Amino acid sequence: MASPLLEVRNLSVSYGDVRALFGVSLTVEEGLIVALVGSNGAGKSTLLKAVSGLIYPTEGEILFEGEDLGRTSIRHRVNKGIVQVPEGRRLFPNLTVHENLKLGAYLPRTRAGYKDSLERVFSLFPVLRERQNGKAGLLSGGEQQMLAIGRAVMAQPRLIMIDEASLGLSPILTMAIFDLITTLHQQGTTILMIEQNVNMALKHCNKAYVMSTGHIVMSGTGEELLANEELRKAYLGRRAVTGNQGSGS
Amino acid sequence: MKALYRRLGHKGLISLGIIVAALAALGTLPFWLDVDASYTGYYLFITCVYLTVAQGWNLIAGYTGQISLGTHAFFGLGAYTMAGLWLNGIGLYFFFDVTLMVVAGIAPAIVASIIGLLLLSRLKGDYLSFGTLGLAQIVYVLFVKGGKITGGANGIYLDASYFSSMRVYYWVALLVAVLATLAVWLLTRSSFGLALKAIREDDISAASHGVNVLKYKVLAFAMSAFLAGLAGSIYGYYLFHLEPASVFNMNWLFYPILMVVLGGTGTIIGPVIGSLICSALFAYGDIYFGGYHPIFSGFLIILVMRFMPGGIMGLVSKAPALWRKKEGAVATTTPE
Repeated sequence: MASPLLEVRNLSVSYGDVRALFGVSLTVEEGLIVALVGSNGAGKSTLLKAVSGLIYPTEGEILFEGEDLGRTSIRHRVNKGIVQVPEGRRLFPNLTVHENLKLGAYLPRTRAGYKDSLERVFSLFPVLRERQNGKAGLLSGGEQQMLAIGRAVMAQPRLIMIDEASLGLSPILTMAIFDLITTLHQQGTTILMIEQNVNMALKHCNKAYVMSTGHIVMSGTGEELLANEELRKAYLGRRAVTGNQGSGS
Repeated sequence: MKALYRRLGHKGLISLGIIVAALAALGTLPFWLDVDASYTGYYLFITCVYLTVAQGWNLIAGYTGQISLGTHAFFGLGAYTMAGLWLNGIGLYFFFDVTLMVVAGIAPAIVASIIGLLLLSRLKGDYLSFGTLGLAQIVYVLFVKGGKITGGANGIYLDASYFSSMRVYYWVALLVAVLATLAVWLLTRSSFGLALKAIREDDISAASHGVNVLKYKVLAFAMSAFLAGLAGSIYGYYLFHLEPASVFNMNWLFYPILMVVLGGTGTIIGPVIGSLICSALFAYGDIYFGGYHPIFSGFLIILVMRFMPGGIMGLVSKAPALWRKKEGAVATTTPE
């Protein structure tokens, strides 16, 4: 296995008196797609927020390329190449598609290669080129998700963390988005994705962690977990067995 | 000409032509219209003063999305700063002294930076509104109770013998309003402006792309205070007698807001249209309804907020879509 790009060690996070994460550890090796699955409130988003610097952990450490991120700023982490595609996309709806992409490459480090990044995004998502002068808020759900991912690509990421890419999308669009994530991965970007759509996530990842109530309860390759009886019962239900897409829990 | 056309396109060239023509007409106005005798002179002067304040509010509220309610405090601070420096013999010419006017902008900008760091660091938008409103009250009372330093409720008197003609006032106010509009326009087209708009849309998302949210909010707030202070110093030169009740008047808060909202929040030309219309309305209101006209401006705010939240510019951007009667393709009345 490749060297770990991201390493989370024994991480605990609390919101006031409420603990959301209890000593979670995981590693994301360079060049992999790693999925983090689990039901609502399992702590997946909290983990992502801690890595991107939106919240600070109460215990444990987060290492990126061996450097302890500690209480460094979001800006510092984006500069290192840790970029998040947040849940619900969080686009700038009244700004144009082009302006949204420009904001993805806001930091000086990424501004240098701005034109190349833009071309890369447009070749990944041709629809964004067509609509670049339109407002982001007027895009369809699928296009908005593409823009959110495209905006992250603009930051020339080492690690993209995608929070619920399939949220609110139709099955066909969900598949399209997963295909695009796969393409992105093949181009050499390391990806950590959070999904409630356990079936799709496990099929598209190299490695997965299953979370429940703030703990990591299982881990393994996608195939291993898909074959795991316990997991199938807990998260996939009958639909996965018949081959339809499970919608998670 | 060809290169210009390629850069600006058809529409851009027409806009540029209109702007140049309007500026030429306004700039030369005192040569073909007696601005001392005609009410138009005062009307355009006061419109320009309001416009400068309005563009400042537009920057912090329209582009950055942070509703400040302390504009009148910065306006009054600017006026008093200018007057205080003049009375103490600091500056070169005293009357429309550029250094005094710039300092009159910087002083409120410093106050805004300090209060901005306190109010904008952790708290969300609403707290800036309440905080700035509170600040304005504090400043007002400090000036009323300031005794000899501020001249108390009677205020301070400047040497009115400097007054010669409305012309100087007209030109200075016009130049400042044009520069303020230009500055805000250039700012909003820069990467700084893009960051401000991103903060307005979603500050957490902006932060997660590396935008230093607090720094930009405070900078935008300070700039808006600078413009209010600058406008305050011009008005101070016009008044010659500064009292808290006039320069800290709430009108210096509400009227610019009304002008921005009526014209179109977060657009550059909206405040220009809004201030021209509103000053005319207030002038006529004063003539025909005397002391009651604030009631009408209050109603106007409510009506605009309810029926045209995008302001006149919002209607303009909506018009082509309505014209074509395209279903579901009506442009939203949102800022640029």
